[in-house]
Amino acid sequence: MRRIFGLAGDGIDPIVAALRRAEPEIELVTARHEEMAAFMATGHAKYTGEVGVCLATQGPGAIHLLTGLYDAKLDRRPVVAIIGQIVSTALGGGYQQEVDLHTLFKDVCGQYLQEVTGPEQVHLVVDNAVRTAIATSSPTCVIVPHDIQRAPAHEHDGPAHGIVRTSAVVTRPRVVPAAA
Amino acid sequence: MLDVVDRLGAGIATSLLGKPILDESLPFHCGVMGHLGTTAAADLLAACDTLLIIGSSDPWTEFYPPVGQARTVQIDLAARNLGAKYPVEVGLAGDTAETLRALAPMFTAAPVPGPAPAPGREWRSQVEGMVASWHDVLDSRVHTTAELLNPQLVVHELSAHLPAGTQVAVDVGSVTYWYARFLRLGPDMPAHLSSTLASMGSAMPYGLAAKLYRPDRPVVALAGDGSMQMNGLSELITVAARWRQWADPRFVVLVLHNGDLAEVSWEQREVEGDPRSARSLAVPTFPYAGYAELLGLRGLRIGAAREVGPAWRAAFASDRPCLVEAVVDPDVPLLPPRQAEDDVTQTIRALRLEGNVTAAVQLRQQRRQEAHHPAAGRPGGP
Repeated sequence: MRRIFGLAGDGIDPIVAALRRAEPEIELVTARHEEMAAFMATGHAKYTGEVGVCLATQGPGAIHLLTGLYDAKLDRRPVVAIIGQIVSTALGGGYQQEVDLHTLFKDVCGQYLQEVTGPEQVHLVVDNAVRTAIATSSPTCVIVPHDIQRAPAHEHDGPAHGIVRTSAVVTRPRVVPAAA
Repeated sequence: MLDVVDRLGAGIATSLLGKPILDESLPFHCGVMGHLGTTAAADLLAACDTLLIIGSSDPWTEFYPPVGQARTVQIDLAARNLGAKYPVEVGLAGDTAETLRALAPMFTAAPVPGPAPAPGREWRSQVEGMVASWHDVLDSRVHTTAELLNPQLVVHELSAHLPAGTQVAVDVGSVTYWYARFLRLGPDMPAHLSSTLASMGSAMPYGLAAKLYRPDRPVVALAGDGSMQMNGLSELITVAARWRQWADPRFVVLVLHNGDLAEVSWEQREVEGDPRSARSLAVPTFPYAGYAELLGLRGLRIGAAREVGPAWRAAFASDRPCLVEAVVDPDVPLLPPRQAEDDVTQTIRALRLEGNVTAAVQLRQQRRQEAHHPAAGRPGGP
């Protein structure tokens, strides 16, 4: 992935900063509204045959993505949405911009929707979100609470109990009808 | 796909999403099917005795052949789609190309036309008649004149001006009808829109995604005034902020400025039999071309047939993105092909309640154009 479509927001400041550090390998293309970023990601998937990625902040930013993600779902295209969430220590507290993102995205990103609860989990969630989007030609979603965004990245060394190691391997099957 | 079509002596109709896949200038390509489609595609599906559905989940169920008329085989990569839109006799879960390659040798090669045409050829010539009839209807549609500029002409004329390799992005509304029926895409011209969701506002973000993917290729985005006001005007700011980085700066935006959410207006008349809710469906006027100029882009405003060709030429010769604001007629009907007379009467009644004479005249004119070319082919034909 070389391009992410999105719009900055303070709920994703650490991710936006990470993208700045990742320049020019990954470019954050900003839209004027998150809905347009989601449509751009779907459009990217359609014109390129690749997976499209969009990024939005917690609360209103995340809500704005929905229509563009449904576009991907109904036309069967792979798109990964990365969205921020309020700090996990305040979840359930009726916090500023707190929205039940699981409920909100469960239909459109029904194939894979996961909130990251610790830095150890980031690799597997991102891998699975991308792989599932491609394998099912549908949108998937990664929710990242603010405190997880700020945590130092975790480098895995080996398989261990309670640690799932994954890899960014994607292949497509050759599908032919069974002989009559 | 074409090999199989030839072996079967078949005609082709596509879904809206399938439009860019095969060359629509083929004499047996009937164009897009459905409410927004062509008479040829409607005639083909109404008359065929065998239907091979390839990777399509076309939603216009009333345009499929009457159940029981056509023996149907469907190919889809996703097994869950087989038989999910129309009753099929055989479902083949597989990649389209792989499956067609496996099927092709099972079809006998089409016989060479001789003095006594083989049955398959007879059908093919019927299909070519359907296509020729549609081309006549198309020709009269795009050359219909009224007081205001004909949007069908604007989109049709674009076909001749599309530079090689243009990436096309389309919006949802009346412009989708004109795209489906009247835009002839050249080879290697990908075209996309929000098809199944059918959400307004797909043209500008899709166009931007296409441009960022291939900045060396021209983009044309086809939108209506409703979509531009929903979000396109904002994303034109994104175009203005980025175009200097593009190897080919041509990003042409067509805005059909008719002051109307026209597709909704026509649905209101056709489906509900209600007069257009004028205050609800009006799109406030806005200086689209002037706004483009304000952003440092080029803006062209046209309102007459003679200005269309020169505008397209200028837009694709421009050294920067160009918005073509075509002030067009909202009263051009979105008549579905071969509609039942009762439904047309309902629309006419709604137009009478509005006192909209010019739209009613155009609707009757479109019906006469179709009637001049009655549906050919016999159901369950040869």
